Amino acid sequence: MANETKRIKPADAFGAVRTIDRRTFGQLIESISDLISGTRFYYLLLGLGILLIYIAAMFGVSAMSRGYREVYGISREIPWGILISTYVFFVVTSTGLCIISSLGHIFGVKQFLPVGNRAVYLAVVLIFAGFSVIFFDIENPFRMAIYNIISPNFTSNIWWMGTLYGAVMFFMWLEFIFLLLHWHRFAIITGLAGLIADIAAISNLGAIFGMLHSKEYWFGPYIPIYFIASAIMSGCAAIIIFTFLGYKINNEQMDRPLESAMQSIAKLAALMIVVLFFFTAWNVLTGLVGGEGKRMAILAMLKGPYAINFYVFEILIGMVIPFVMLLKNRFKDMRVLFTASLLMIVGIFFMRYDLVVVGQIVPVLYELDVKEYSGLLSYRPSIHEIMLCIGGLGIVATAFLIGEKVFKGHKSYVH
Amino acid sequence: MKRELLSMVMVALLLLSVSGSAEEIKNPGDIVYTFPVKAVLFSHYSHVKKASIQCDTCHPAIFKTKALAVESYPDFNMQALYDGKYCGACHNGGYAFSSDTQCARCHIGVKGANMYGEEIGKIKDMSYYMPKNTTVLGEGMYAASFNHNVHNVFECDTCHTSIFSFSYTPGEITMAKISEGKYCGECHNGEMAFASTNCVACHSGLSER
Amino acid sequence: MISELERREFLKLGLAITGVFAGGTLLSVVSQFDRVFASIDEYKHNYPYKPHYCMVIQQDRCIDCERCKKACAETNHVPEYGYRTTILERYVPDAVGQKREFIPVLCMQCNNPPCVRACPVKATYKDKNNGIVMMNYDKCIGCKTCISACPYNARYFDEERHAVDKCNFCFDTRISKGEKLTACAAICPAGVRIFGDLSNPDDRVFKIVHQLQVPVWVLRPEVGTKPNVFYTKGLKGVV
Repeated sequence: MANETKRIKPADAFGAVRTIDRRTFGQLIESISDLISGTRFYYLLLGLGILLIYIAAMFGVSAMSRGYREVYGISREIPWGILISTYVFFVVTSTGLCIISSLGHIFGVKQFLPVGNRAVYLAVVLIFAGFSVIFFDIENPFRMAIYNIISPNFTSNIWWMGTLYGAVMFFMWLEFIFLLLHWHRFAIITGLAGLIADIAAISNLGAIFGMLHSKEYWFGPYIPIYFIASAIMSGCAAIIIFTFLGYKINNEQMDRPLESAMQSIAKLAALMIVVLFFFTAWNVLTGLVGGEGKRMAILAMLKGPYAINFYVFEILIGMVIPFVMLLKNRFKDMRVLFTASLLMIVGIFFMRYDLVVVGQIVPVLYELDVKEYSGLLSYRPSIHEIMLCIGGLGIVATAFLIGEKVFKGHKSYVH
Repeated sequence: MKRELLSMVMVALLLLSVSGSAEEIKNPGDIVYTFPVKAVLFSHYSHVKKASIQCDTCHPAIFKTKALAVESYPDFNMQALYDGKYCGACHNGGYAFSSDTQCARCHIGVKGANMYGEEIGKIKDMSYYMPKNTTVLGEGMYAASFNHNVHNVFECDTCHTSIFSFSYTPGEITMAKISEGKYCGECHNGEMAFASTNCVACHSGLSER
Repeated sequence: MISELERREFLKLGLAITGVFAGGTLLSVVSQFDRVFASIDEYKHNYPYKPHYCMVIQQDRCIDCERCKKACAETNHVPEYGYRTTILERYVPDAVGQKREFIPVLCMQCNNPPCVRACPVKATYKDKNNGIVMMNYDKCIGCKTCISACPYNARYFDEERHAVDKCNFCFDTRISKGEKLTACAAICPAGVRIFGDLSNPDDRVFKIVHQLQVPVWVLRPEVGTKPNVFYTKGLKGVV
């Protein structure tokens, strides 16, 4: 860290500005030619990604023209469905990636440097994917752009979250460009700004749920804190997956520093699994002794309609199996790291889904003891909602594939 | 593992399928009034079976023997009830709970009406309250038997109380009156139903001779 | 030792005392106005609304004729899939005598509205003059956070307006045009909905909320929204 910062003096940085060295441009042109000369399998994947986006866009247009009420599974009682949970999944993972990248770039933990560029790039991509998904959930997204600026409500977490994520996207893009240009000082400044905005954004995202006191399951400081911890785990899993895939696509061998970076990240992930396990356990245990609203929601996960999501996906696939896999392998084999991370990501997707949906299944007027709200409400994602989420994955896949070629495996950290 | 997963799925499906609560039982002869407000439930069951009230306590003095007929009366409203008419004849706090209390005991609302669905306005299963066995009028070999079950294709008000009251006074019905077209003779005239000259059809005691 | 029967009877008694039959919470057996506003004086000093519109609902008089729902829908162009006000049904099989009761619900026009805090663009706001929680349909971005934030399920997304819609005490359709009552209060045949001005001591709603003879309560007091829709029972002959 110390060495790093000492080396980058302002003069150097400005020197860099003056001599935007030909190498950078040359590199870019080379990258583009590289993209054109990909393998057949690569193009197949890329085509698939673009196809997914196209199909999802068709579903999106259809949903817009037919009205969300008709084609989505959401209702008056459960207004937030899988689109929101997928948005949360994407942006929380993005925050995780931002945190991982900052460990190397900003906090100077050298071990994490090799994955930094890819993490920054993917963080931007994931926010964009998240925004694309939520675009089709918000009924008037274009009004949002206007009234977010001319009629802001500073007490609203949604306002802060939206605005901050906008800022995050801006800073992270800048950081990524500066990293490509080797303007490290600027990269650090924008990276730090991005990180601060990102942490603020994710805790506000958590607070959207945490500050809704109409829903007992969500209410409290738990979710904003949980989101940050859980973001780190998501970020670890995501960067391992994408780095592994990146090297497969480019058909390259990982060098020693990268392997050790991956191993460190996997260790961090394992640690976060333990942390998250405690979060989950205490959330369940405290919920069981609390008010009826939260108790019912917890019971819906423990022995109700969400039990499979909870035990199989959240606990087994999301935490226990990857943890055991990683420990058994002693974090050595990259393929084990990759598989464990993939399982974690699947589990995390369900964690987000359950967090959003289970928070709403207890009717707000349950304690009125009326027929209308005598039991749990139900929500089932519609085909439109599912396709739009898959479209979000398509965006991530496509952007990732293009990024691997254009930015040549994100190896500009080597200097 | 697979089997476990399957059984878990089954359990989840089971849990999902358990929904809805037991609705109130629809008793025979329920009447659902939808005018002037939607909706009021009158339960024959509660009045006849639980409270053991005779038909002629209300019919026809307070209510016609035809379901919903009272809806056409302009004064069929809460004020009339408070004044002692209709339900208010008993529901005055004396014989039964006062009609200005326990509103939702009779008023079942739109939700209650929806529960009855298509059946609103159709009085069903009144035969539940009819004498199960053959009614025997008179004594000795001239006793005439009447079977409600044979006649239950008709509405109650076809016979009650324009032709028969709910109670029978011995000697009230005579063959002379029947042949004049009164009582049984209203229908048993050889046109609508077999003629009253077919003695043994009703007076089975005569056939023994 | 107590027998099973006695135990059951005892439990039932417990239910009755905690007010399960009276309205669902222990709070319903005591008058609530001092909880909603710390005191009359504090209320008079601190509430800037003039008039301060509010509604008292005589829960025991509702017969679910749903004329209010119909009148509301016609007056305020509420689509068939939505509602601004509705009637809920509570069914208590082991109650003595009357076994069901109907509970009208609508926007509580909270003094501390969670929806207003949650809206990112101030599309929903507390009217400074009369305290009604209003919607500015043009600003609504449709994020549905207010729907999630509402502890009373009073909001829904209206496809026709393409914005979230909610009860506004008929302000735009009736009250601002000089009508004295909301559509639902005007049509109710049983006088369930008493609409009035809580800042006027001569108004019936003021007298109902500020008496101690019959219970007056609000829904979900624990969320601290300080509703302006009050519920009562047994009001006949009191105010």
